[in-house]
Amino acid sequence: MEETSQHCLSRLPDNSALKQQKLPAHRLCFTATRVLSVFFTMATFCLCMGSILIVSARSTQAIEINYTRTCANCAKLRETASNFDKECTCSIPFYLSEKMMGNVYMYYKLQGFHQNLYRYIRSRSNRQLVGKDVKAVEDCSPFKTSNNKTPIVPCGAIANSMFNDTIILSYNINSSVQIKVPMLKTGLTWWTDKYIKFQNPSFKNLADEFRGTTKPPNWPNPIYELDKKDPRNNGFLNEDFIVWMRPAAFPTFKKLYGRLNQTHHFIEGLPAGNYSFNITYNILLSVSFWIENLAVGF
Amino acid sequence: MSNALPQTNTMLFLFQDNRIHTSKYNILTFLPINLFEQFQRVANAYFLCLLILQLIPEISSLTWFTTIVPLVLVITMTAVKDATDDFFRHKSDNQVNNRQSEVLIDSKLQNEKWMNVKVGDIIKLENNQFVAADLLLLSSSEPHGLCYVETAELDGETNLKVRQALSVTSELGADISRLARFDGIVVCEAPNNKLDKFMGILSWKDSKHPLNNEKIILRGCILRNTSWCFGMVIFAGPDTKLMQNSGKTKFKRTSIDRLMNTLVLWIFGFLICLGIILAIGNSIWESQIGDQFRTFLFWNEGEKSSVFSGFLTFWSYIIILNTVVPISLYVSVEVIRLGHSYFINWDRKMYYSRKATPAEARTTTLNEELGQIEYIFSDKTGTLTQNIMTFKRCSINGKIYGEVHDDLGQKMEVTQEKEPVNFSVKSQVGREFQFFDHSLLESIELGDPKVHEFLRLLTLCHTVMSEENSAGELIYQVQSPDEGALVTAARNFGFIFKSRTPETITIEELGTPVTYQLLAILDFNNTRKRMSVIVRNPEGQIKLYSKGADTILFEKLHPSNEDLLSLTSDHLSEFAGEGLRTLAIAYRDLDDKYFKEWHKMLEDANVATEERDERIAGLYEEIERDLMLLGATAVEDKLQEGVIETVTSLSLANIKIWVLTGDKQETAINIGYACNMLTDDMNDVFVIAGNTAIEVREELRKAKENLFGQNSNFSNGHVVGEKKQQLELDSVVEETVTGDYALIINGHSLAHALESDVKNDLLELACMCKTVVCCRVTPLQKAQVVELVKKYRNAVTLAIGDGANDVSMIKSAHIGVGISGQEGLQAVLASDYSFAQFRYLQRLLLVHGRWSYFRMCKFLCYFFYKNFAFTLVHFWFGFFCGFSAQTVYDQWFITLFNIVYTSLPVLAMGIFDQDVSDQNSMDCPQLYRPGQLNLLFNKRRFFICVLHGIYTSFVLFFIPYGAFYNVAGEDGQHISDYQSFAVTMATSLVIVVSVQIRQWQKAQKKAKPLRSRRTRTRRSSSRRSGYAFAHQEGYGELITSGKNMRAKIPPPTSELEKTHYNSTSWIENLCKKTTDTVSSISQDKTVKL
Repeated sequence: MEETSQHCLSRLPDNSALKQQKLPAHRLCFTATRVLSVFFTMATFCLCMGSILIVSARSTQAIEINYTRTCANCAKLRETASNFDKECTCSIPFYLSEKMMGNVYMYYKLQGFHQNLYRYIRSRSNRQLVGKDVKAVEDCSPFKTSNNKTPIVPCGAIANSMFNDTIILSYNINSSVQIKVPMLKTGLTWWTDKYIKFQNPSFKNLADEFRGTTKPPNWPNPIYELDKKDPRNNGFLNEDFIVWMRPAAFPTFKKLYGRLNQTHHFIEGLPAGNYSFNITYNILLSVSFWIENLAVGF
Repeated sequence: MSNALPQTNTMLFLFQDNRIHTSKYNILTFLPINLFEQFQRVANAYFLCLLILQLIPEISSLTWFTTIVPLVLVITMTAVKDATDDFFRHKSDNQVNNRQSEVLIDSKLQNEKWMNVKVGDIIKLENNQFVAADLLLLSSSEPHGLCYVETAELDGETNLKVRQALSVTSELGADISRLARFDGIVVCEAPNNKLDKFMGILSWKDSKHPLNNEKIILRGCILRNTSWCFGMVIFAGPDTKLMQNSGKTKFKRTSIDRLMNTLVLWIFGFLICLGIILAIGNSIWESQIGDQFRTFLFWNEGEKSSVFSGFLTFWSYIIILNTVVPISLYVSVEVIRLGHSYFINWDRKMYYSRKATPAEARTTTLNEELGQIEYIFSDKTGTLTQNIMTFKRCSINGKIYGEVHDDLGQKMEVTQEKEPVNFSVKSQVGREFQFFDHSLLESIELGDPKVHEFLRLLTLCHTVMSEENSAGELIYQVQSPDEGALVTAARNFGFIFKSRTPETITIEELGTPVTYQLLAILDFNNTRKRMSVIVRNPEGQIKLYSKGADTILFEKLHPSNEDLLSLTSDHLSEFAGEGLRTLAIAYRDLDDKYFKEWHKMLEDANVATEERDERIAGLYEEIERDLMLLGATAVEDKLQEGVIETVTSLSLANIKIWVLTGDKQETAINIGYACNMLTDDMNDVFVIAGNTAIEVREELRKAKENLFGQNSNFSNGHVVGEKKQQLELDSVVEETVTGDYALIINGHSLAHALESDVKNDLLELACMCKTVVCCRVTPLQKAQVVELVKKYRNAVTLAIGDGANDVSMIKSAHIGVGISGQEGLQAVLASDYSFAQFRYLQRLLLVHGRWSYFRMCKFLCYFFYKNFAFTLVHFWFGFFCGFSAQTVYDQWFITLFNIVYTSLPVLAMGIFDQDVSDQNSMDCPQLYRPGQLNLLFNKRRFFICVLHGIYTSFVLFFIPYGAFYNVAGEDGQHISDYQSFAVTMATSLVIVVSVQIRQWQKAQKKAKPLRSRRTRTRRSSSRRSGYAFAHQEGYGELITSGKNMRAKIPPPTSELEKTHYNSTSWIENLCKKTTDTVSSISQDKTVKL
């Protein structure tokens, strides 16, 4: 008898909450008041957030100047592929009716440039960009090596198509005096990009580190000569390069080109008056120039 | 070596050995067959194609391991599961194949494994042994080569059957040397599945002997009441009738599985459409805009036209968009089903403590189908009933005994707490017997002559054999359990049946032994529906004791019984109303002279060559008249616990219950009434019992006319044809019939009704009826009925049974349930679910099934929604990335989205969610309805889910697009880059999708608990039990002939021994009459008066 009862017990399922499907459960109980109160609270919250966003966006000022049309001759020149290394400059004057206060940022905006093409977006070598192995070009097709099999640095379609127009903004204090608006070429990138994702092989002599490699076909200068003025802003750590290497999600995008250095005349921002751009034109596609201040809130 | 078969035969026909295989694979064939089976699943094949596509680098937009790892995982898991299942089948096969039996080898009895038994071997069987193969009975321990077998495993019939060896072979006895020299040749029919037919000829010693079913013991039977017998193997292994009757194991799949297969095809079509749109977009883009990018991004080698680029893009998009139906869907579905199966295994409320049997989900892939059952096919014996007969009530001389009254004089239910009558004072008490009314005992003690006569009748008028076992206890060998119940009851009240010889019956009346001379047994048959004995008591009085169906017996009563008749009649109605099996009891005092005359005429009739049966029947009629009514008995065919509640609740859930039984029509009908499946409130009960196709058709037509009203146009042949066509096209018949009907059909009629041209009539009629009872059906017919409903009604069916005779039905139904804890295991082994009690079916269906269905549907809806929302974002993005098959999300996010990011909430919902508590779903069976109507997941619901998913993906893509279109970070940095966009989308997707899980948890209306228990309705009706004994006709003859008496009984010497029967007549009758036991029931209408 003892044995059989033991046997019975061993086959009797456990009386645990899980096994008997009695786990504690919470059921949302929808009542009109609850649903409506949650609904209206959410609505108020969203409304407030929306208003704040709109107000802050309103307070920014932006001017956009499309220079592809203005620099039509340069654009025409570039249409012939063989002329890609011929220099072409053009100058565009514009008038700033109201002064721009606070931080002023200068962007370039490309229209119809698909940085999000499947083959384009994958055509980069992250191993190369973190400086581990400069000659790692496996993922970079179709820009892996030059014709004589020298690995391209930086390799890949993204790097090859880097935006390399030079834009200089000048402020005309009066009709004869023109001063160059001081622009900072630092602080344009994400922190993670600059300090983690992009690293030079070493800081000593970049030219030596990149020996045995070649520049991308479209580039006029090799990677270690991207910024001739600031030697530290060269190699993979060049900020323009880093900005470009973060591909945009949509075919029309803008990327940060420079920040206003708030000194001398420009302590408060850009004063109203006449300005002009001097552009060394390289790009093929429709490019706009975009100046914006983001003074409030952000 | 005794070999009964000539070589030529062996060459013509390849004999099977006695090994049986129910397993599907062996070690070598496992891999190819299993893989082939698995890749027959649309989904697996689909993923294989995708995998191949992903291996082509030009179009692979996702890395190949995203598909292969889960695919291999799924296939391995399934293969391991199949392998374990098959391993257990091998094990059980081995166990059966290795059973020992004694085989005559080299003139010696040797133990041999079952699988080594060959056709032609001679086997010795002992009492209570399973028969190893289909045998020709040669000889047995009983006189005249008789032996008894229990065939419950085969056909579900519970009474013992008699088999008799040929007289020439029975002489062999247990003489080993003679048996070894036996060299007869058997020529017989080819193996088939007919359990009740056998044709063959034994040629031995230059003479030929015809063989029929009475000489054959089939595999699966158990030898009873026979200490040994010898038999020669005729069919072995797969040729045996048992194996021929077991249907093939089929791969069962749920309707949701099938729907999912269709949906996967639809989705694949949808993907192809999207792919084509995007591919065309890509071609156009490449030719219009792509040119400008050629300097940045050359075309690859060999890929120099926009059309070709479009072609590659098509395949790339197919790969990207395949996440609409991810493999994880299939994995999750399996995991959820597995969880649900474990819940069934773990349910304490389905644990039967008396046999220590928990419920078991033996198949883990059918759970949600449990929530969609429309038809239940139930076996009777062992499933609905316990196969225990108990004496419950009696009415003696107008007084009811056995009712329990409470203090107020109200009838009350017999409960366990009530003190039963203590029989311990009496000797020879059967331990199991319980009776709750003390007044009967009091009446006996007071010496009420009617009561004594009543009990004496029960002790004398039967065909029970008695036997003393080694411990000196009196054991009754009963052929029909009802008689056993009556004799045992009488024994407990002090009237003990001791022993019998062909012409005497010795009983003990309240302690004093009395020997009655048995003058004649007027045996039972189907038209008579009664049996009588004529005995002479020690005082010399001749008495006729008769018991039988009330309808018949009441016509034979003496006119003076009128008052008692009406009283007893009321009592009978009451008994019948409680589902008890009733018998009327009467006696007649006979005049010595009259009896002698009559007996002489009987003798004449017996030796007559012409119209013998008719003359005997006439004589029986003649003497069985002017009977004096004593009373009535009521025997309960004990139902399993909770059957009535279960049946009531299941029919409230709109599940139709069909009873398919091998048992007799009367018994089946009786049980129908006992479990409230048949009620007197029913408008009509149709009985189809025709013996020919024409009769059956006519009966069906009449029933239908009745059903649809006279002015219906069924008599018109043309219209019938039209109707049939329409039926075939549209399997769902409109149920316009109001009122409750029931259909009762027997095996013979069913065989005709299942023929193609009547099939639809039968089905249509049966489906209109609330209850259908099929009696005397063979195992294969059970399966055919199930198939019929499955095929033409498109309904989900469940078959429940406990014996080997239910195996084919269990296998062919969508879901097979086996009653476990019994001796035979075949039903359980073939089943998908097993538990110990019929009543657990209620919980299995209404709670587990409903939950499973509900959870699975919610899970699928949500899963499809989730993945459409997830995947179609790529489509919208295609318009902005030059249709270049760039994904919106990171590769890892795509790989892990279903496995990590959104797996647990939906799995938890799929496994644990409960819309209503188990108590509520038990109390309110109507909640089962949505499952039957397939409301929660169908094509429409799927479509809605997909639309919802498309809408979500649209919003998910375009709101971030608007936000990112012209955005800059607070420090002026550009943040509208691809990576930020991807992360934003992914995050919002996970949030949206996780919050949306609520949406699928629709607040269901709280079910109001109905009355928690339906009170057992007492039927007070005029319905009379058409009860007939459950034993075969011819048994009385067997007793009086003394054939089944042991040899130790001295041969009859009495002068009264005048009844000399032709020595073979009784067994011939036995054979002849079993075939038509089913007829003549139709007159015995049980319709409402």
